[in-house]
Amino acid sequence: MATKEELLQKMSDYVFEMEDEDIADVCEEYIEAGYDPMDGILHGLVDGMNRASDMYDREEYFVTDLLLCSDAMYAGLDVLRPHLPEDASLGQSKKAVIGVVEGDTHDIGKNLVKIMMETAGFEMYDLGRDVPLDSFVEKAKEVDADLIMMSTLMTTTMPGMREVINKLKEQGIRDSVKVMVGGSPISVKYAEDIGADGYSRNAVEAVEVAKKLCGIAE
Amino acid sequence: MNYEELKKEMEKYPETMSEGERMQKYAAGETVDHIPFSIQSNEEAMAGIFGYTTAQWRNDVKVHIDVIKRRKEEFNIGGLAAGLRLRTMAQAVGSEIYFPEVGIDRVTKPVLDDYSKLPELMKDDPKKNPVFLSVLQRGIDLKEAFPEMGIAMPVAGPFTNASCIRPVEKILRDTVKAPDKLNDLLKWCVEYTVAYAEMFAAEFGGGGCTICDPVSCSDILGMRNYKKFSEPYLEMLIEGLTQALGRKPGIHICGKTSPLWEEMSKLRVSSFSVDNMEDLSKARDVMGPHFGLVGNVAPVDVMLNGTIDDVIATCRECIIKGSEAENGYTLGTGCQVPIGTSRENFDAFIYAARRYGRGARKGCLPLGIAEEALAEVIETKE
Repeated sequence: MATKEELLQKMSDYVFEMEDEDIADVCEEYIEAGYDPMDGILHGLVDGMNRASDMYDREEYFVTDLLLCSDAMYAGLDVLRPHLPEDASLGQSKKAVIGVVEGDTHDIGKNLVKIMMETAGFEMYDLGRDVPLDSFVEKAKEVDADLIMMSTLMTTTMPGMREVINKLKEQGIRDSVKVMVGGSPISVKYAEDIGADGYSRNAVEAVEVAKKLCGIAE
Repeated sequence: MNYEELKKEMEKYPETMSEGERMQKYAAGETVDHIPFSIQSNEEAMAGIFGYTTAQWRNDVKVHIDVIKRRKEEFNIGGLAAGLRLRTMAQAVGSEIYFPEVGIDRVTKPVLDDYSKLPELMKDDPKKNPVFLSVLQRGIDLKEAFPEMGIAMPVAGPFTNASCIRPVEKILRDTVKAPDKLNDLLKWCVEYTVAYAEMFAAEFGGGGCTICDPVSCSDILGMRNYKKFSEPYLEMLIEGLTQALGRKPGIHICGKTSPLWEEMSKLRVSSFSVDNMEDLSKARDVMGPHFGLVGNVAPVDVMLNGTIDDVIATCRECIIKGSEAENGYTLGTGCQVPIGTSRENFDAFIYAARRYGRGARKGCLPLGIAEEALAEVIETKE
């Protein structure tokens, strides 16, 4: 019988190698052997995803690879999650609302950011794409979010990000939530101009920026 | 500099050649009045400057004609286009597209969620497709209004077309899960696009063409998938377009492409338009020996949100970096110029081309740059 370490390594490898079919069997075997599901998530699945994001950082993995790795990770999570105690938390429990701003439907970047944020332990509230600007504010209030993350690919929808920030000010909650923006036409300069707290070029960097903004040590 | 000062300054650097004459002479290695320039896909932004919405420009041929007429009168920019924009093929075969009043269209529902539908889609005859016929008809109407202007056709690259026909996340997974089906889809995208080029050539007798392929960038695909799923079909498309139109197409790929430049240098295109996130001087060194270069003034930070001085300074820098490209350089924007870009910034761009690009010759720094640098040195010594 495989040891816990061997199974964790296999789970990590399967995520890293994008094996989204065989990974469920390994996770089943891990649970049947009575090992801790939380360890399985953090030291198996998430470990594999972190290795993938390191490769992405080194430009050896690309968007396609991250997507396929995340498929494997979620296939594993489907097996492990039901075995977690009800009050289990995957991480720091910081909450982030994420979406593509109104008028735009390009969401692959947003989806990747969401995946990487979830991997890092953030509790994500995904509003999807073409999101009405008020929804960002309402959702952030409803869940008492630490972070709002907005993305767009279109130049015509960029001003929506500034509007969301203004709406947060109007409602008197600007100081209680950090705002991050991203997407192809967005730059650090634009983020600063509209008064956002953070900007990132890609999904891996987004996690680092989010952690910094939420005061989470590396 | 304010707009009034810019207008006055522009008078110091008049154009002495027509666009056609300039392009022809520059390509032949002769010295021209100023470096050729191209402000990418500017009709939507121009429509805005002239007080029209994008929808008016798109739906009303009279508005379209007025935009081209005024662009010529007020900016001296000519040229017509009737081609397949990023989502036109997807629209032609049944993807749902949303066309906003002001702004660029977007796919709301890709038609091919399931590959079992592909054989049915492939039965469509592009030469009878109503979307293609209406695009061609627009070209015919424009050419009738401006018989003296050349007409060109943009097309989307195979991987970009495929991503508008099938959800992009599925396409990316297909690279591993269903490569054969993806290959079928990509090949069909090439054939369908070349069929439009044949329709265009039958009507207009050939013309220029630019392939836009934003999804083929290395951020998304990476080298492995570019080589497997983009490059072979790009090559097939380039060959088909060259045969149909009688000349090599140019290509524009958005985003990061530098890791692919060695590979891309093999493409048999006339020019490569470099995105603003890349370094134009590196592009000149790697790709310059293989084809002409275009680029790469930042469309958002500079053209849309920058000042007149920002635009001029960035254009000057681009001319310095790009002009010595062996096979020629066209001052251009790094991607489509955004709707909302001001008249002032268009003029600033043109002014910089005329001032710093004056006395341009293929492969050389233009006299404009050289003379002003020399004057600076003399002034410092004095």
